[in-house]
Amino acid sequence: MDKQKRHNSNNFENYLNYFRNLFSGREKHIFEKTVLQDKFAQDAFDGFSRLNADEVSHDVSELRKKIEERTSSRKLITLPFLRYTAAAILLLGIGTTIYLVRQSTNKPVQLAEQIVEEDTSLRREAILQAEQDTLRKNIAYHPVSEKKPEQKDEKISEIELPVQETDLSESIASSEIEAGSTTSDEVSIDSDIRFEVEAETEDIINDFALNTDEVRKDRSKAGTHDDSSAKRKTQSQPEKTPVVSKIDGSYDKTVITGRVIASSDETPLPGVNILVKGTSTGTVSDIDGNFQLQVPADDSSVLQFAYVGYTTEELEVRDYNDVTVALNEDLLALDEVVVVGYGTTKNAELTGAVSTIQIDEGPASAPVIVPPKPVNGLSAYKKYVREKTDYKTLPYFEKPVFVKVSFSVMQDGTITDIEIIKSVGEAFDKEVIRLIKEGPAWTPGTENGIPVNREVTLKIKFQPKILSSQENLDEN
Amino acid sequence: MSEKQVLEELLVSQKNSALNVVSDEQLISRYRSEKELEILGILYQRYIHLVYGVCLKYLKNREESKDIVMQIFEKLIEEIEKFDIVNFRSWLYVLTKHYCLRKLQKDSSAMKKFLQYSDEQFMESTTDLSPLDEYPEIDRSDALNKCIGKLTNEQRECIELFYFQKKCYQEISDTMDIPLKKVKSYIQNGKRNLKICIENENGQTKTT
Repeated sequence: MDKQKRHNSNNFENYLNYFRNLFSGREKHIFEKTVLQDKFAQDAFDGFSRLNADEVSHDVSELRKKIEERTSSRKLITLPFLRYTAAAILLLGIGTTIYLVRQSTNKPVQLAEQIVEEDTSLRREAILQAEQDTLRKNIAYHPVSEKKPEQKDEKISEIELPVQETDLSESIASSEIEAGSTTSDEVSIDSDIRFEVEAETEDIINDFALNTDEVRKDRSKAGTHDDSSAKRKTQSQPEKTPVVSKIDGSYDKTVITGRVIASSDETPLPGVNILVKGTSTGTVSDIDGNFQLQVPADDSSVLQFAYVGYTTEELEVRDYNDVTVALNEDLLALDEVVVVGYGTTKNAELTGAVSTIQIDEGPASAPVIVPPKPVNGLSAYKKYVREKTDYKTLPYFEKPVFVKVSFSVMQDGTITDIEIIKSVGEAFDKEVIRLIKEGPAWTPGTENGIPVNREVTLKIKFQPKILSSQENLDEN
Repeated sequence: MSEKQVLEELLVSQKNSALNVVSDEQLISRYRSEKELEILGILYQRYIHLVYGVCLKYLKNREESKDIVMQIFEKLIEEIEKFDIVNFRSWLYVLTKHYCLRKLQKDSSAMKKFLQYSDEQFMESTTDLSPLDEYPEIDRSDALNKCIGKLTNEQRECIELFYFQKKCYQEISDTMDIPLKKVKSYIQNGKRNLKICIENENGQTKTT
């Protein structure tokens, strides 16, 4: 059974095991022999030899997955559905969060605003319509501070959570603290930070009453400047400021510095793309291969180093600082750079990217080179070959046969160094050599008019002999 | 419902690829009657690594090869309707190779590569047996001996070591001190030359 399996050149596992060197010599031989018996397997085997086993395994499983995706009809239906659900859940989630956040922060702020507004209007004896009557009543009963908080408290208890309605006689500040519970604390603290930038937060926490008093003073001050709209802004801003400061404080970012070099000769690589995997944060290395990159300080970040002609490397971010990354040359990728043609064309007719390389034209007066040629010209030479071929020395052949031959024509026109470049058989080679030796003379090639030794390459064509009836008779 | 069960069974059988119970041709006829792309996928998965390997060999480029493997599958969906396929594996090989060569042909710079391969004829069967495979227990007939004698030194030595001493490429490469690639090509070429030579010998003896 095992042997049977090993004989199977269809089995992908066998290829992997073979290239991972997991087979013994004997097993390798069996597998190689099996592969040799089948062209499909042979070609695949040749292809796989270009990569290492891990790359092959990775690529094939990637392809398998793709085909599965391509062919599975079920997934195509369920996927969009899942997507919509996910989107809906996400939207709902975000919606509720925003709603909750707004609710918890806004209420106390609004309340505070109202209080301040009314407060200030009292002091200025404002003439706001809705508030006017009640305010006047309040003034009549209690100058400013006593009754007002009571009414406020009632309002608060309507909107807000259970309120401890014990100390109605307390000041606005204390009722604020009770009603708004923690969030209102925050707000008051925040607004404190706003107005008294230098006030130390610890003090505020230690002594609410004192601070809130200060806040109130500040508010009333602000109110007297009739700057309620500005205040609304300043009071709503604190919602954000603590969050921002938290990000700066707790999610540390590390700066990674390092250098990218080529593993082959350790030269620095400039312009290497360095990317935090899965994000759009990245940088490129400078001319000395150095780079500097801010990354989140969690261990999960992975840096990717990519460079044309080199394999992409990945590096986990740990406590590394000043890393040196060596990239290996990617031989396959270098194949991608190909020369696709040469010549001239109009820009307008050009599609695709073309790089032009200017070839040095060399010394200004390039020598005038004239190659050697047969005395009577090439066509006469061809005729000679056609007529003088001695078919008796050649084996029988049906299709035209080409022999490629090279030789040197010396300054004095003598022919030396006859060499067969492409042979089709010994008989033909001999015949070619004979034809050239016995054939028409050659005029030597010249350089600026001076005869020189020069090599010539010829392709000689043998036409199959058409047997005439005459010759047939002769042979008989 | 039963259809799905069958499909699942097929998938399982696909995974234990040693036990490919359902033949390729059965799968094709199933696909023809049911038009279920999944069946074709299963069929293609059986040879996908070979297809990828062939692409790698001819295109010499990883990414391009992966693309081509996917394109060949699309081509397969198209072509499978048109032909009466007797041997799917060989047919797929021809399709793959043809597709790769066409791809090379389009790329004008690759014309040379194409010419290098195009003179090989496309065949109905991919089996490439030589007398060496057919008679493993060495009946070194006169013809075989004679033909082995005609091989170049390297080819002869490699063939000897591989077929008669049952060495693997690596071992041969070590003992002869030549690169592994060379060993492979010597054996392949030697094998082909032997086949041609022996066929000629047999032909001559038959006619006389």
